[in-house]
Order: sequence, then C-alpha cells, then structure tokens
Amino acid sequence: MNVQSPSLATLKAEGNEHLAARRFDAAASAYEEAARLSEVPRGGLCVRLARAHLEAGRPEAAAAWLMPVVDAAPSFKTWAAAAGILGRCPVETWPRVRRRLRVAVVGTWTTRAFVPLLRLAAARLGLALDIREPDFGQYFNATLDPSSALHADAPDVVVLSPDHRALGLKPFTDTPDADVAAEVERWSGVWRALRRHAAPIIVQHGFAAPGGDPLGHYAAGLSGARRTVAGRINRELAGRATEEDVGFLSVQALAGRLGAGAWFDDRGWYMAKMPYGPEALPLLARHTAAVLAARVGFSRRCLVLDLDNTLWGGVIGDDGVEGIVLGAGAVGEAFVDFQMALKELKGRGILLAVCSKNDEAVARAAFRAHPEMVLKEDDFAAFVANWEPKSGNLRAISRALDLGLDTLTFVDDNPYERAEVRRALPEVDVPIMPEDPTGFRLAIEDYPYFEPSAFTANDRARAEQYRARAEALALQDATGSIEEYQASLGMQARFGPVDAVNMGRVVQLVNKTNQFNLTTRRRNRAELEALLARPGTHAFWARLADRFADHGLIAVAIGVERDDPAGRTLEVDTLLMSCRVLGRGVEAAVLAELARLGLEAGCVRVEGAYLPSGRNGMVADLYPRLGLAETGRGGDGPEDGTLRWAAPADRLTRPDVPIQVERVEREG
Amino acid sequence: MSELVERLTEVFRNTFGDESLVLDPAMTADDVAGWDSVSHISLIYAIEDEFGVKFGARDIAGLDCVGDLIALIERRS
Repeated sequence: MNVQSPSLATLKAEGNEHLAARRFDAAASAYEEAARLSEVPRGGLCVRLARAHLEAGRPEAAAAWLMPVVDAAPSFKTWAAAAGILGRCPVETWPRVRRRLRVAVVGTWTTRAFVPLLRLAAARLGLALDIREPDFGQYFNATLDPSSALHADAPDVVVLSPDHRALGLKPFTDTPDADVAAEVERWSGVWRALRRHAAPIIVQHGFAAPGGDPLGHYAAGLSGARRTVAGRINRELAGRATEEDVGFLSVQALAGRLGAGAWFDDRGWYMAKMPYGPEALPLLARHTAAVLAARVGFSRRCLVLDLDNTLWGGVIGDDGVEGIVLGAGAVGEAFVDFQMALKELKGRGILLAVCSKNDEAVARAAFRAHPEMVLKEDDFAAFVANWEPKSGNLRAISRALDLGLDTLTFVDDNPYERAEVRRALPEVDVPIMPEDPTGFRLAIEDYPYFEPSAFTANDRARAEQYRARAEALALQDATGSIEEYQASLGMQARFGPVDAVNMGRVVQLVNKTNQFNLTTRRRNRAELEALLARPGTHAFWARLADRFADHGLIAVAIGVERDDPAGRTLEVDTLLMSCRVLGRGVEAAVLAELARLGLEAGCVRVEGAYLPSGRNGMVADLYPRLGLAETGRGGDGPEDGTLRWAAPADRLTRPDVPIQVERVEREG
Repeated sequence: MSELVERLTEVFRNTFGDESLVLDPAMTADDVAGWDSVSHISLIYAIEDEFGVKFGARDIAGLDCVGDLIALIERRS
C-alpha cells in the first residue's frame, strides 16, 4: 500500500506543475521540501529533483541527488531515468569522484541498456567510468583477437558477461568432466588473451541457470544432465577466477536472491537478446560496481555500530542488563543472529567499532554481563560511548583506526542519527536498516560494499592487530620518552622475497596504501609480476612484530637499477608502508635494506622520488629525514611537484632504530 | 492532457533523454531519434514499472504507433 502524507503529495504535485511549466527553480524548491519529509526520498523523487536542478543549471546538485537511487529499490524505470540524467552532468560535477576508469563491457547479450546503469552504480562509489562495448555478438572476437578495437583501446577494466545460452550444452552428455573442462578453458582463456599485452582489471559475470531440466529434479543427481553440468562450469570458473586474480560475480546468487522468475525475462531475449528483466539489470549493475570497486581497493573496511535497538532490543541505560531483549523470543533471537552475522564479518577481516549514545561504563557492562551477548568488547577495534554527536565520534574513530571516512559504514536503528551522520559526513556510508530487527541479518548480508578482493590469513588477524595497536598506544601514554617506549616494544622486522605465497597481500598493499606511499604506483598482479621478473629489479616485503602483536606484512619496497652520470644507482620505484606502524623507525630499516641490496648488486647510490598524490603529504619529507640530499625537482610531464633525493648507498645501511632485523627466504 | 498521457510522456522523455518530447498518437518509432529494438525494451520495462502492468510479446508486436500503446495501457490497467 502506497500511503503518502498529504503534505508530501501536495508538494510533489506542486513540483510537478512547476516542472511541466519549465519553472525549474520553483520545481526544485518544492521537491526539496518534499524530500525533507523523509529520511531519504524515494527514487522517483530523487530523479525529479535531479532533473529540476539540472535544467536550472545546477549539475552538481543534480548529480548529488542521483546517488541515493542506487540504494533504492531496483526499479528499471527510475534507474534508467537517473542514469540518463547523470549522463548529462559533466564528470567534474559528480560528487566525490576518486578514480576514473576506462571500461569495456563485453557480453554475449545486448548490454546497451545495462551500461548506463553500471555507470550510475559506480558513480555512487566514487568511480567515474567511461564505458565502451564492442558490437553485438563479438564476445570472443573482441577479446581473443589482438588486433581488435578493444585491445587497441587498452581499457583499465574489462567486464565479461556471458549468459547461460552461450554455453551451448547438450541436453545430456556422457562426458561431463571433459565438457566442463573444455567450457572452463574456453571462458577463462579470454582472461589470458586480455593479459597477453596489457593488464586490465577483469570482472567476470558467472552463469545463472533459469528454469529446470528435461529430467526435472532427478537431474540434480546426474553428472551428465545439462543443468548439473552448467552448475559445475559456473563453480569451477569461479574457483579459477580466484586463482587467477579475476573478480567473479555470482549471477546465480543474485538471480536466486531476486527469484529466477523475476531475474530472467524471455520476452527481452526474443525481442532484443536481453536475457535479464527490469529488476535484474539494476541489481546486476549495483553488484558489478561493488566487485569492481573492491578490485580497486574502494571497499568499506569498518562497520561502526550503534548499540541500543541495533545490537539488542531496548535501551541499556533504562532497561539494564536484565531488561534488554537479547536471546529470548523472536526478536531476541533475531538480535543474537544479527550479532553472529557481525562476528562472521569480523572473522573475515572487517573491523567492528561501537558508537553509542550512552554512559561508557553502562555500555561496556552489557558486554561483560549479558549471557546471550555474542559480541565481546575485544571484538571491537574501537569503542566510543558518550553523549556527543555521532558524526564527531565517527571522525575520532576514523583517526584512531587510521582509516579514511570513505572506508566506514555506519549502522544505527535511529533515522535521526543516520541522517545526522549522512549530512555531516557524506563519505561515510549509512545504509537504511529495516524497521523490523528480524530483517537485520539479511540486510547486513545483502550489503554489497564489504566485498573483498583477496582473502588472506592477514585479514582474519586484522581485528586483533588493531586492538593490539590501540593497547600499545595506551601503553605509550604510560611510558616515558618515545625512545624508551620504542625500545620496550621489542620490535623485530623480517624481510623476504615476493613470491606466490605473499603476492596477494603485496598486491593489496600496492593498491590500497594511500598515505605512506612515496610514488603511488598502482599495479595489478600481472604488472607486478612482470616488473619483479625484470633483471635489475630488487623487491621485498617487510613484516613487523612486537611484544603485543605480529603486525603481519606491513611494507613493500621495490628498487630498480639504472645507470647514472653520478654512478650506478638503485632507484626506489616503490616504497610504501602501512600507517599502522608509523613512527617506529621501520621506514629507515626498509630503506637500509634497499640500500644493502643495491650495494650487493654494484650500485653506489640510492635515489628516491616523492610524487605528490594529494593523499601522501605525510611522506613529502621522508627522504630528507632519512638523510638523503635533494637532487632535483619536477619530472617529465605529469609528474610536476615531484621531488628527488639521493645518497651514497653505504651511508644508509645502518640506521639508528631499535628494530632487530632478520632476512628470510620465505614468509612464515 | 489526461493523467495517463502525462505519465507516459515523462517515461518517453526519460527513456530518450529528450526533455522537449511531446507525444502524438500518430507518432511511430521512425519519428523519435534512438528508438530501436533495444530502447524499445527499455521503454516497455519503464512503462510496465510506471503503470504496474505486464505486456505479452504479442501485445508489443502489435504496436504500430503511440496511439496503440496508449490503448494497450488502458486495456491492461
């Protein structure tokens, strides 16, 4: 039932009248007033607002109003209208664009109506996509033929979208193993062709099987039945994608979530070779953008949670530990289930934090005393409970955990708090939770922006590391001088070669590290492997442990030998470090190791450059602080602002830092 | 202008990105730039969403002009 308060309907009608009469400023005002009546206005109102603003000459306001459409219901009409309006706003006017990417979308179906929706969904995540598609029916020609326009374009990203009809399977096969292997080879062969002379990010849509099988349910147990073979191909392709660093999107899971009846629309296939229905296309766009964002390191990393009526029913300050609803009854069970879902998220590397309006002691007591509490205090990397506005607390959490606001997601049952944070901190993602707590678990499982791009043991241990660091910082307050404190940490660093075991983590750091990054040279796995294989390249990772925790792999350094009038030089191509271990002397130890490797290879000097990126200001003076002398400014062309320093290699090999160094052949 | 035609006009304007588009019952696909089989599907999806109706392939195949479309929507609503 669609019930609107009289004033909302009146204001919308007013706006519509103004819009029809081309009085765009008046229309925008009426619509804005209508929008203020709800926490986030419905998609249709956002589209009208955007249109009015655009026609009135305000593309920034228009683009900003289009972003909430991506979180709204997957209505094709609304998404398509929004995407059309976004197309008329110059990219410079879009809100918070962090990266521009050139994308090729290659489908075995007509992707033309899907592409604008993908652009909208990606814009919501700070990605401005310039998307091209080959002509219809060119999935293999465009990708396998090295002289194709796609290869000439050299896009940053290729989205591969085959539909199930492209599998061409027989109704029944006597050779399922061979058939599966051949199909997996056929589809994954495209990745190798794309990577032969370039290194694009690849996102692979999986296969979804609609309908049944001539053999009905019986088919599920027959390895030769078409439906069974298709399912196996999908699963094995997904596994192969993970092994080969390709982002896989489970279309099967999405179709299941929406319901295959709604996901597929055969009318569209017969009329224009579009297999997916009007609700499917926006969902496919939203999730493709999420997987793509994960690949460029834009996934959210920390979930900040309210307490009252979010982790339990009721208000701890009023109801006490005995009075909150947790465990007993349907709602109590739902909250327990929700906490378990959150614990699972933490277990795979998403940090949890608390931001509650409560007395801190009262809030902490709930975790210590309630027998049904699944989450414990030490599951949280930060715990903030006071009476201040939550936006300020979120800023503090962001600083304490050294995570950008654009990596935080804030979940609160209270629309007032959600709106306050949304207004003050537009970089923080604030999903709308359902009113009914029995929907909380599914809501958080549906949330697409925690998508990982690699899953390593480090991710699992991360929460413990952050908590340990917070403990170490607390210790710092208690100890005397910084030198005493650092000496008391008992730091041990290990340096080792980049190999198959740690490549995943190295690639993650290369692409995610923003602040402590001298040159911000982003490379994907293939590009890194190529660089490391070249003679004259020296690369290593660094691990750090102290008496509180093993911090894991925290730095990557790459040096490249070259000739120079001043003598054979090791140029620092990449020097980056996790901010978690700032200020302990690790950077000096890492540079010393690079210098040592350079000396062994016959280099007499080390040269490094600082390329300002807008986010790495903290390392602008790193090299002079480590004792190097300036040698020049500016680079060729786009590297203006570059500063260069150098020093004789043997002057760098013995830094005065309280870190014990060990070199290993392999990690572990 | 009837409410149906008003709403349909907005759907057309959104689908074809033309704020100044005005519907005429005699209008056909040839009269609108960019109206091909793919944008036809987008248009159908948007109309179905807007009016809460569902068309069969035969319904769609039988459409020659905007007037036919208006009549079809009225029949199905």
